[in-house]
Amino acid sequence: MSSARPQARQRVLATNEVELLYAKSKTYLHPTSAKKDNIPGFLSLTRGSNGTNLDILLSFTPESQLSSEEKKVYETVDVEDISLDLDAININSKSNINNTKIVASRIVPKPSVSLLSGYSFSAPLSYVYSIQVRKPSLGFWFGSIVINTKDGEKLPIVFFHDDESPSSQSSKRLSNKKFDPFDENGNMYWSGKEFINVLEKFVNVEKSTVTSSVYLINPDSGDLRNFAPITIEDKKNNSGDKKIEPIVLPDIGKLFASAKWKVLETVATISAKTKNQMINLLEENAPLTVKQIMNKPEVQRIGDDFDSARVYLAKWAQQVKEEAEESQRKNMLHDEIYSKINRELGSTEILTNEEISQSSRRKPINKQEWESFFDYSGRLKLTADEVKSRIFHGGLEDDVRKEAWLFLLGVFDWNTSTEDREQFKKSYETAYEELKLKWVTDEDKRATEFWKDQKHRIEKDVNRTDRNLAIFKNPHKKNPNANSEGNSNSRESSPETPDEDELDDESDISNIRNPHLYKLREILLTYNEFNEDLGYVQGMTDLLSPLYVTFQDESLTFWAFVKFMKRMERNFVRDQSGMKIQMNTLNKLLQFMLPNLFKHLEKCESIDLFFFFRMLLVWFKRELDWDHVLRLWEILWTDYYSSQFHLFFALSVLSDNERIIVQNLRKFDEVLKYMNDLSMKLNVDPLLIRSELLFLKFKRMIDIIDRDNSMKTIDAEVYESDVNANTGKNDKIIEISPELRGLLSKEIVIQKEVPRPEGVGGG
Amino acid sequence: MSGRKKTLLKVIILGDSGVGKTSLMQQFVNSKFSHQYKATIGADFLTKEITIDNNKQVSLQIWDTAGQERFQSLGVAFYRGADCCVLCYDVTNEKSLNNLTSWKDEFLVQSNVTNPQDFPFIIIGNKIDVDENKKIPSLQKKLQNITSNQLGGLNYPVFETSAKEGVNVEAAFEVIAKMALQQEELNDANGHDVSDDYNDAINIHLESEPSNCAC
Repeated sequence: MSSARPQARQRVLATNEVELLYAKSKTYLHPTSAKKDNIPGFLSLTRGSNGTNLDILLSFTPESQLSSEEKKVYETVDVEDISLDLDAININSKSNINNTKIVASRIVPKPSVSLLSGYSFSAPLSYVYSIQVRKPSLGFWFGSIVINTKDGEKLPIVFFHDDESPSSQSSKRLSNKKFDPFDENGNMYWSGKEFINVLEKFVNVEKSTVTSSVYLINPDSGDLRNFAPITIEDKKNNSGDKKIEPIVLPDIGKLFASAKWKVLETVATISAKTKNQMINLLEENAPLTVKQIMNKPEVQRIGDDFDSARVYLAKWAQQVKEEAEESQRKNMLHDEIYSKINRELGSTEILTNEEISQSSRRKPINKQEWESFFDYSGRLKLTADEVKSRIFHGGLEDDVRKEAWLFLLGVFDWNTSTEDREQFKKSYETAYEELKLKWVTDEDKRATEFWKDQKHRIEKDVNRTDRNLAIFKNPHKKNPNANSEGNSNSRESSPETPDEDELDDESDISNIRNPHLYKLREILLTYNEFNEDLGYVQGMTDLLSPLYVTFQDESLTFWAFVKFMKRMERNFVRDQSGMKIQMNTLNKLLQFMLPNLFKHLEKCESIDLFFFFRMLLVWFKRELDWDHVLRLWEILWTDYYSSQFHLFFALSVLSDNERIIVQNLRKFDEVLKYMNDLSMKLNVDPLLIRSELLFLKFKRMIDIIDRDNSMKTIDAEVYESDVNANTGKNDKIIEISPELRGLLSKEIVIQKEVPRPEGVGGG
Repeated sequence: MSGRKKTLLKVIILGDSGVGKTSLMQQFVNSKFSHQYKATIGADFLTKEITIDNNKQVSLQIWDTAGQERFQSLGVAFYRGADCCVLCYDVTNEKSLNNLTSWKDEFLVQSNVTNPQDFPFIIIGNKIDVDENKKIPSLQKKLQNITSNQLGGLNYPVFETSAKEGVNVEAAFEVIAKMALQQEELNDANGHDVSDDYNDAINIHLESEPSNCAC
């Protein structure tokens, strides 16, 4: 069957037709406990024309409702090799765009749309909230899945009769043939888990941390907050390679406090084993009212027999929900980490609990979630701000970056369609080629002292950029294709820092043999021409390399770099004024937010904050692991709170080390050494939480001061006079410096380099 | 300061980008050479205890700096209190040799030392391990020009080293330490108060900012 597929007849879907993506035979509803009442049918995933993956229908269709031809289609799809099928139906395409042809043998009538008619049901994946997977076990011969919808409705439980299903039988045989009936996690094969695996190909599926058998379907950020595992590890308490066990219930207080029906639904369906863990955790954390309920003997029995307990559980869940909502007003609990940071920052009186809980880190956006942001034409369905908010709080998984960074950096506008972007990409390519040609063809230019100087600088630095990455390692053999212009024989200098391979180390630095390094060179030479006033300055390779590694496309990387440099140009200007301004602003921010630390640094003669120079110049590229750099940058690019959030990140580094600095360091060089040596020891996630809390506190303080000031102005005009004098009077107007107020702006600060004076080099 | 207390000597390494400043420091302090060094951004230092003049224990604090000229304006933050300055060039890069004079001038401007005329400098030509044919043609003559013939020439000790192979590095730093110690003792004898330098440095940086913090 599958080998014949390339020739398979294809046609366009009619409006009442769908493509059958997945079908599972011999799934049953058990309307009563009597075996004779069981309803056999097909569990299926189908997609209509013009539908995104979130429009895919999850349906149960009783065999009795299918014509014999239809049944044949379902049965055929059922036994096809699942992995082959998934390739064939092009899961990665965001949708079936109109007129896409579908293999005719997969076309079936659209399953009944009404949620519950007879014994069939059907719901789009966007409407499915969670699926609980209950594997076969003693006492429960058949595995089953429980589907919860976003409205809190529970669809009939679907039982998988694997012993009757031809596809399950063949899969089982397959695993038996491998003499390994278990999967990599040691679980025995059963088709319910396979169903989740299939779903994961289409939409974002998150395993709930509350109970591992529950999968959240395309959860929104609120759900993720309620269910998110705490991924942050406190490295300081964690000596070396000792792994911290994931916390089973990270967030019980918040979970109950923000309880919704669906949250409790999950709680209500916990298995006996997790229930005990839950009770232990509740003993310690839950409000008294919830504890009382948990200790009721009826509740203790839950999990013994799911079917008979269902009604009770539903009532119980309702009750817990009410109790929890009641207690929310009195007992708002937070994760240890938030409250710890918050206590340290002394912001409990300043920030609301809501603000504090919002600052938690979420899971990075994966491919499925990212694609769910777009409609069939590749246009954003959410607002750009919503996406940025999501990125700010979670970041991106690596395979999403290639697309998402182009939006974040402004290479593509958020409002474009896939088609628009293809168009733009082409014109970007042309424009880049033109720019590059300008210096490639201009021999006079390349003969100038300035040009040769800059080229030398670029080559020297390109050769020593991120040499630990495999992509930038020099090939061991000479690669003639990667050679540079014809003049590479003119040896300008020897490599200062040759390749790891001793044999290579006498090579000429302008003879770059790694094709990727070579492209970095081309991009920087072109940028050197593109922005003539600024040219190439040391540190730019650090900014370019993550972009290149992500896109691996010369012209796209160039334009992404151009956009990035727009905001980074001020770091590199000749007179260093841009850096001095930022260090000065950080200095003021430190005085404002962490006055005790500031006083101590003053004693250490360190308030010029020189040790932040490197961190600010290349946005912590030298202080963080590669992955953490990518995470931090994409978060900074969102300008979610402030276009200068990097200064709050810097402040968070100081804040995180405040106690150590104050207690141990006395001199300028000690402080500098300590701060320099934090390199590669910083952990980005806790610092991001701290940065966010610091920002929120900062904003609130400014609000309070502004409010007080305006009241004083109204009350007594007499006091308005000399605002600079520091007389310590309580009723003085407190002035917020423009630098500090500027930190509330999301507008990128742009400082262009002035034209290069005659005779001045690029140094 | 007499021998009973350990003396801290501050040494600044300057020179064009890529001449091998980081490698020299690493070779001297940690006796290692790596291919993984990156272009230095900002400044950092390493400390090494050595014994000079038979029994004198000193701590050499060696400051490694960024080579691109524009970053030197920040030197004011850490040049203060320097006891010796090492001017580096690359024996295969003529430009780096020609720039030695401007590195020296820049240092004297930024560091605000009390005795610019006889402040101790030393010159290091690095990378002597590379092939002879890549070296600056008639290097000795050109070097001669720079060290003695020019007006205000750099009449300082010269060492040729290979940070990669550890050639002459130890010897150079021994001389550096002796010169630095002399400077330190001179400063002590003059009753030079180092904290004056500190205040200057701070004021320069925050000159636009009378300390009227909003908080």
